[in-house]
Amino acid sequence: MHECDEGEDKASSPAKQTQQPQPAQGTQDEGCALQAGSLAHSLLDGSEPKARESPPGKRNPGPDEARFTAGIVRFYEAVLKEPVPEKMLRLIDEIAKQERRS
Amino acid sequence: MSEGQDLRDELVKWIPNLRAFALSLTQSSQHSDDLVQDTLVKALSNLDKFEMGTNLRAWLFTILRNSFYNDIRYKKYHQTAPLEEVDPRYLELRATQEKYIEFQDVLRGLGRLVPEQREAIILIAAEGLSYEEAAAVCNCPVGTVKSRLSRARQRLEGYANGANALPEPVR
Repeated sequence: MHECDEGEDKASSPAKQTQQPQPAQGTQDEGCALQAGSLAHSLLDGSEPKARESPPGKRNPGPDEARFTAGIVRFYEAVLKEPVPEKMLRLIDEIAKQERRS
Repeated sequence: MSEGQDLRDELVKWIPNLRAFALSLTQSSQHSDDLVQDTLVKALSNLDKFEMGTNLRAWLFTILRNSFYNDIRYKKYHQTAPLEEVDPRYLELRATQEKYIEFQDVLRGLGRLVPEQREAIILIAAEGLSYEEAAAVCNCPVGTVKSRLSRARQRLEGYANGANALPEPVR
């Protein structure tokens, strides 16, 4: 396993400004459904996200930790439910119009 | 319908996820929406560079993440105020009538993580990306993502078990 920690406990390292994003391989339609149970589990025991069982020797999360992790997922879900702001939709329309004109 | 229009429609579909990711990173409603708009402009300006058949969500997240770190570099979005000083009306709006206190605590907990740990937790635990996808978004090896997640877990564990343990969820 690579362990290049890049100073995780200090301030963030800026990304390369000129770097073009590299798309990850996969399907576009993986959906935004959240799997709170398995995801919370994976977060707390460090297993693969979809794995259900902890590797031997891993401790079980305490109730506070589990609640906190579930809280992160619920928080995320709540933000996902918010309507897209009109200004963002307008922005997309404006850019599309500009492209058509040019 | 044109390929460009299809991509734009697909892009709109991911805006809620971009907003959630941005809010988790910046912890500021205003900054997060600025960041998303910046991401949309960059994405739409570079749609021709997107490789069809690859993961649009990961591509968008990568743009957003790079913008975030570039902005940190210029201190534009650097959070200098503790979360307690962030206008709670924004949080209240986010949480509407439910679970306000819990969400406030979640944000406070996330605020104890460095951005790289925060994004690891959000991408994997909340967004549901695989380690490989998260590594592609973060432009780092899979092992680094795992390491960040592990460190985030350790910090949150201390937070959850410490003096600032979570309050009971608001029902």
